[in-house]
Amino acid sequence: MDEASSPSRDESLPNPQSDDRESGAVASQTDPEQWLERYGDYLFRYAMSRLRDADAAEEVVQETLVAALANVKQFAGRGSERGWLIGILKRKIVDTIRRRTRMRARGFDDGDDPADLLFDERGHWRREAWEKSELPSTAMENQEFWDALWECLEGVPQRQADAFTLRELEGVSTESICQELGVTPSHVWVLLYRARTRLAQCLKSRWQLGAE
Amino acid sequence: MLSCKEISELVSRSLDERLGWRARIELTMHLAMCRLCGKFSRHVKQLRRKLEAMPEPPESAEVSQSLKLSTEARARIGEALRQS
Repeated sequence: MDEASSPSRDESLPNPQSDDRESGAVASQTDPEQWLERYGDYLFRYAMSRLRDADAAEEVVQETLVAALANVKQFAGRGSERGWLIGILKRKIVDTIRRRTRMRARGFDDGDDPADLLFDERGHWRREAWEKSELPSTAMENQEFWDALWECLEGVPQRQADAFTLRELEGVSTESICQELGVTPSHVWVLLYRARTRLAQCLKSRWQLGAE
Repeated sequence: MLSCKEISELVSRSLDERLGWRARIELTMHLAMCRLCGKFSRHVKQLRRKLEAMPEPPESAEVSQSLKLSTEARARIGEALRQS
């Protein structure tokens, strides 16, 4: 009856080592002392991919592990320990993005608008915008893709990159982004649009490489 | 008639919400005729598909090698855990 625990679902889980943790003395299988050793780098890498700031990433990893330790009884042994920790980390990441957005809200710096580089005054694409651009390659390896994305994200102003991260990496709805960041829907669309055009421009040359 | 700039804004917005019927028709007709907007549309959709398939940097990525907790951070976090 319970679809969530049917074995077929496990095939799609990234960490199969958690499969046989369901039975027996569940509490004793969770070992907080091992968390930092086992998951520290993984949590940090995940946090960096969302926050792109080492200090902030270290801080959320610490907050996550401290919070997890305080709530260790809530981890009932269902699913993986790592998945549970990531769940906490995701919440802390959103908190951090919200805090840093609000902190800079007075300055209200959206980052510059790439539109002038891409469109002429009548709103047509400039010739150079898509010059020599090929179709994106589906064959591009995941690690190549992430290396390219990482570099390209560096060129995106933080507010735009934060909106993009919440929407595309964390799958947050635009409605929730509005609530989290305290901005209007049209503002979120502008931020996402700018981030996407900028990333598409940056990634298109990398995608070509992947196509060969 | 919408400009390519306006169409590209609709393309982006269509990834976040369902567009009204009028906007959908404009978008479809424009994309059928305009090569560059078509490219833009395919690029942003491909970006989304890629991220859905791989939402975190895999361990094998070059960037992952540089994304490790520093010794200092590790010590600091370990200390925080012991004190809590």
